[in-house]
Amino acid sequence: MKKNFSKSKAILARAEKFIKRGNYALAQKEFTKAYKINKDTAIIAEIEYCRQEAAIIKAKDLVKRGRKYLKKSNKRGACRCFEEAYAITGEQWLAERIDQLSEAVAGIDVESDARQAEVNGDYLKAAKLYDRSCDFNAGSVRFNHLKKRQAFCLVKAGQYEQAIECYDYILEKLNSLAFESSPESAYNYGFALASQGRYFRCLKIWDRIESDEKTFLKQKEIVARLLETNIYQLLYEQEQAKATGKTKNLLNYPRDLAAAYEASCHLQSHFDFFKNIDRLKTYCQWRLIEFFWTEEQYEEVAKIIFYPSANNKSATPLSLILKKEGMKTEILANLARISYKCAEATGRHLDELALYWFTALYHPSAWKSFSDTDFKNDESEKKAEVRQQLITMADAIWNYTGRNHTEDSLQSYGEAKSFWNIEKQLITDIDSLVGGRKEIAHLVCTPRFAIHLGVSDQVLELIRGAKTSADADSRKTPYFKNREHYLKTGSYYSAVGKSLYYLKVRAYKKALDSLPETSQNEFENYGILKVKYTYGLYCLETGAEPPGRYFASGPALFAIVPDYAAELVKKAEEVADLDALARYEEALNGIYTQTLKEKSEPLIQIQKVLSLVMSRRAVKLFNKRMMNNKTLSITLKKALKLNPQNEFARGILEETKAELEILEMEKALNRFKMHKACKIAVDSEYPNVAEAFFEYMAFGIKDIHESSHDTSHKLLILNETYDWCVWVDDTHPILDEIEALIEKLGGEVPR
Amino acid sequence: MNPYKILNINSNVTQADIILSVTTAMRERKYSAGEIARAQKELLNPVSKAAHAFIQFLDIEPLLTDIDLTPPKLTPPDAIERLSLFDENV
Repeated sequence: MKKNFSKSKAILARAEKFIKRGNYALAQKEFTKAYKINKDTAIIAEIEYCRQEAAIIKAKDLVKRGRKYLKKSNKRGACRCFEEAYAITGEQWLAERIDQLSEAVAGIDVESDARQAEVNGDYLKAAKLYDRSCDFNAGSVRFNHLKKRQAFCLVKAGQYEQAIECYDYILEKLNSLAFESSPESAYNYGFALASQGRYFRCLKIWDRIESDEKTFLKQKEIVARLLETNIYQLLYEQEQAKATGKTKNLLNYPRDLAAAYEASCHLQSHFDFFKNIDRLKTYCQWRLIEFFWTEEQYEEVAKIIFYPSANNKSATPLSLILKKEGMKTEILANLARISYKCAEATGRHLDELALYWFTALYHPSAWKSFSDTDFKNDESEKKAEVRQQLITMADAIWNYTGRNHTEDSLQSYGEAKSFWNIEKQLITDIDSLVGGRKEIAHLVCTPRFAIHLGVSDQVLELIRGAKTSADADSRKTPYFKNREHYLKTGSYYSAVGKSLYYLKVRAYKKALDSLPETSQNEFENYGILKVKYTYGLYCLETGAEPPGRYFASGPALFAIVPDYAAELVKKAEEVADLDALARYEEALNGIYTQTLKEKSEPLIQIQKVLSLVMSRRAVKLFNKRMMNNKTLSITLKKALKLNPQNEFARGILEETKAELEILEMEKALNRFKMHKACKIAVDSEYPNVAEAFFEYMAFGIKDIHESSHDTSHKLLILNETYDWCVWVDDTHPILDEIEALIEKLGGEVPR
Repeated sequence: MNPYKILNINSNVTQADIILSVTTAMRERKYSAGEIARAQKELLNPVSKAAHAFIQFLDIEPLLTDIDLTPPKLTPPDAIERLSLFDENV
C-alpha cells in the first residue's frame, strides 16, 4: 500500500512538471496513470484541466496552419484547419471564416467547371457557370475577368442580347477603359451589337481596336454600309409615312434624328467611301432645326447650325450656302432668320446676324416666302419698306443687347456692331447702284459674301461704272458724295477689304499685315494708303513703332482726301508731350521729305505744323538741358526756314542769339581777350549783351577795389577798365563809379 | 413677339382670317388682350405682316426636295461572321 502511494506521488510530480512546461497532453497521461493507482477525485479535475488546455493549444495550432494555407492561396486546406479548430473551440469568428472560405472554395470549383465547359464547347453552360462564379467573386479582382469570359461565352453561344448586357455592365459599372486593353472583348462586344442591328454602337466600339487585319477592316466596312442603309431606310420610311399621311411620326423626335445625324457624321469622318453622305447629314440637320424652331429652342438651333463639331467642318453655314452649283439662297434666308431669332432670344450670335442679315434681305430670292397677295402693285417699293422694317427690327436687337454687355463681351459686341454699321452702309450703296436691274440684282451683297460668291470684281465694275457715267454726263447727279466715298465703297469690295474690316475694329496691326504687297487698282491703292495712314496715327498716339515710314505715303492720301492732312495738322498742333512731339516731328518730316522727293506741290499746312512741332520740341529739350544753345539755334533756324511766319521760333531764336553772344563774350572776358569782348558788346544788336558786359565789369571793379594789390596796380587796371567801358558805351553810369574810385585812390581821372 | 403664334395662324392668311383668329384668341385667353391687339395690328399692316412672315417662318422644304432618301442598293450578308482573330486563350 505504501509502495503504491509513493509510486502515485512520483507520477503526480512528473505530471506537475509537464504542466509547468506547458505540455498538457503528457501531463494528462501522467495524471491518468496516477488515477489508476490512486482514485482521488482531485486527480480527475487535473485530468480535465489538462485535457482542456491541450485542446486549446491544438486549436491555436490549427488556426495558425489555416492561415499559412491561406497565404499559399490553399483555401481548401485553410477551410479544413478552421473547421477542426472550430470543432474544438466553437468560436463564432471561426464559423464566419469557414462560411466565407467554403463559398470561395465552391467558386473555385465553379470557375474550374466553367473553364472546362468552355474548352468542351458548351458555351451556354460555361456562361452560366461563369455567371455563378461572378457571384462568388463579387468585389474581387477576378470579377472583371470572369464577366468578360461570361460575355464571350454568350457571344459564342449566340446569346447576343445577354452578351451586350454583360459588356454594357463591364463598360458602365466596372471600367470604362475595359476594352482598350482587350481587343477580344471589344471585338465581340461590337460583333454582338452588329448582330442585333446596332451598327453605329458597334462601329464606335470597334474604333477602340487598333488593328490593320484585312478581315477585320472588311467587316467594319460591311457594318458601316449596313449603318448607312439603315439610316436611309429610317428616314425614307418616315418621309413616306408623312407623305401618305398614314402616321405622323415614325421617329422619336429629336433623339432619332440626332442619332442619325451623329452616325452620318461618323461615317463621313471615318470612312472615305461614302460620297453622298452629305445629303443625309443635311437632311437630318434641317429636320432637327425645324423641330427645335417649332419648339422655340433657338439655342439648340444655333448649336446645330453655328457650331458644327471639329470633325464636321463641312457642315458650316457658309459651306451649306455655297455649294458648287451656286448659292443656296433659301439657306441664306433661313440663316438670316435663325441668327435673328437666336440674337433676339439669347442676346448672342450677333456676329452671325451681321454676316447674314443684309445679304439675305437684299438678295432677290429672299422674298420667295412672302405672300403675293400683299404686294400686287408697286412691288419693289413695298419690298423696300419691308426690308427697311426688318433692318429697323434688327437694329433694335443691337440696341437692346448693347445695354446688357459685360466688360468682357463688350469688345466683341463692338466689333460685330462695327461690321453691322459699315455693311449696312455698303449694301445700301450697292443696292442704289444696281437700281433694281434684275440682271445684276445678285451683286447686292456685303463684301464678305461677295468674296465667297466670287462677285467682288463685278461689284467693283459696278462702282466704277457709276462714277464714269456721272463724269461723262454732267447732267447726271453723281451717286457718290465725294471721291473718298467712291474709293471707300470700292476698297471694301477689293483685295484690301479684309484690312479695312480689321481697321474698323481697331485691329491696326492685323490690318497692316493683311495688306496686299501692291495695289492693282485705285480702290486698293486708297485702301493701302488709308491703312498705313491710320496705323501711323496709331503709332503716333501709342508709340508702338516709329511712325515715319507709315507717313511716307501720306502725300498721296492727302492728294485724294485733303481732310486727312487737316486732321493730322490739328492733332500735331495739340500735342505737348516731349515723346509725342518727337513722334509727330518724325511723321511730319517723313511727309515733308516725301513731297521733296516726289517734287510734288508742297503741303503748306504740313510744313507749317512741322515747323511748329520742331521748334516746340527743341525748346522743350533745351529747357530740360537735353539740347545746347547752339543746336537749339540751328533747329529754330530750320523751323523758320520751313515757315518764316513761325513767330514762336523767331522769338526764341532772338533770345537764343543774345544768349549765344553773351556766352561768347564771357568766354573772351575770362581769357582777357578784352578787345574781342568789347567788340561783341559793341556790335551786338541785343542790349542785354552790353548789359552783361557791364555787369561783368562792375564785378571786376569791386574785385579790384577789395584786392590787396598796391594802389598803382589798382589804378592801372581801373584806367584800362574805364577805356573798355567807354568803347562799349561812353554814357554808361559805371564810368562815374570808376572815376570815383580812381579819385579815391589818388589817381588822375581819365577824360 | 410672334403675332402669328399669338393668333395661331400661318403666313398665307387673309385679312378676314386675321380678324377671325382674333376672336378665337380672345376666347382662348392664352395671351393677354394687349398682346392679341398688338399682334392683330402688326398683321393687318401688309409691311409688318411681311416682315414678321420673313422672321417667324423657317422654310426648309425647298432645301430638302433635292435630297433622295432612297436607301442604297446593298446586298447585306446573311449574317456577319464572327472572327476569331482576337480570341484569347482560355
